[in-house]
Amino acid sequence: MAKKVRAVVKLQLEAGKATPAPPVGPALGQHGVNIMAFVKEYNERTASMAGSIVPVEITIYEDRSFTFVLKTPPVSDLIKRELGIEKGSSNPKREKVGKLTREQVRRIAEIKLKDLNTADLEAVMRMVEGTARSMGVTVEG
Amino acid sequence: MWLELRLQIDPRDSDLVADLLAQCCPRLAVEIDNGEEGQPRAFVKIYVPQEDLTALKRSLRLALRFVPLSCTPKWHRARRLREERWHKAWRRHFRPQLIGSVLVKPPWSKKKGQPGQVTLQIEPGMAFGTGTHPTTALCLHAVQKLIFPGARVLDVGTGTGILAIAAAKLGATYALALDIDAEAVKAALGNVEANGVADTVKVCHGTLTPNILQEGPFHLVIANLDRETIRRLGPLMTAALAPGGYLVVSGFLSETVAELTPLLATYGLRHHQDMMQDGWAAIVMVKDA
Repeated sequence: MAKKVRAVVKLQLEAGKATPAPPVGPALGQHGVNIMAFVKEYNERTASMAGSIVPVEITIYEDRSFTFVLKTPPVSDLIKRELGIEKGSSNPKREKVGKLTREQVRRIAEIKLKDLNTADLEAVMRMVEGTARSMGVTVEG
Repeated sequence: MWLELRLQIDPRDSDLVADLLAQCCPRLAVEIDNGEEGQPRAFVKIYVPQEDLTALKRSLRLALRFVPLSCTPKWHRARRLREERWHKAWRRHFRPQLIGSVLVKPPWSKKKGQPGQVTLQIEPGMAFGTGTHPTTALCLHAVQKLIFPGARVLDVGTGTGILAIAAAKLGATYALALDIDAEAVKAALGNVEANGVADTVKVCHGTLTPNILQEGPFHLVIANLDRETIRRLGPLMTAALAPGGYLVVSGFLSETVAELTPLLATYGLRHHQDMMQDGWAAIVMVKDA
């Protein structure tokens, strides 16, 4: 019989650099997960992706055991990479830090599509545009 | 003092909101539970030092205006986090385990080993190594196979000290346990004391350096680390070995074996054995006499 799921926890962590500090410690510790075991396993599985944010989705079972899958980088990370910028604007309404073409938005949306449980590319593109605007990045067209 | 801010959102929005808010505060988790009456609930939990709360809340509210959400997010009152609570929460589920003939148990367990078994009492603290992880179990099996009375052992990245303590209890006359993490050193020192092996196991804060070779040579070198650190420390670990001594490395996935074994062979070691458990691996190499 399949094990009963207690909760699913999603975290965005830097590849190879997870530590028991928040968010890992409190988010997993509350469910009785062995934090150090998760940290070791995440860091080992992401060792070759250093420098990227690698989101992880952890399924915690009633017996406190867990499994996890790695996801594609967050939209904000993909936008920063596409534009070659280090960070978004702290005042997105007034200060703009870059511009994405429709083609770039589509490219990012296609990367994210498989993670987002949807086949609606247009909806994911709208989400990418929203994230871009919140970072002070304008979208052409 | 850390605070946990909770924002209840529609589970359909969880990835979107997490992506968006992570720009303001990377220390966040999205949690989806079973909810009530089979209706899953999603919460964004944001971890923030108390002094940053007001500024962060302002930027989070601003960020949320930019995307179309399925329903309006609901803020819950921030709650204080007691650090020790999350550190200790999982301990309730740490149960005694028999690995080969070694019984590993937490201090609060009353379970007693059978005749012929060696009992290790391990308080995990904030360190790795309770025997519940496959790599610790693989290393414990290897120690049991390779140890002999009078052996000298080097444990690189000792964590709780579990492997060095096992070696001492199984007949080693000297075990040097190193760790770069001060929390691990604290945990290891406590465990060495609790297991009555303080005369045999020396715990040091730091990594493996050429100076430490003076303490050798060692008949058994154990390193449950990660593949990068093993790669980096490989030559020094080999130099620390006595002729005929064994190197046990673990802490990596089974697909890494094909890459690490030839590398370790270039340091002058011969392949002895691979061990696998649940997708994790250990490699045993020998330094020819």
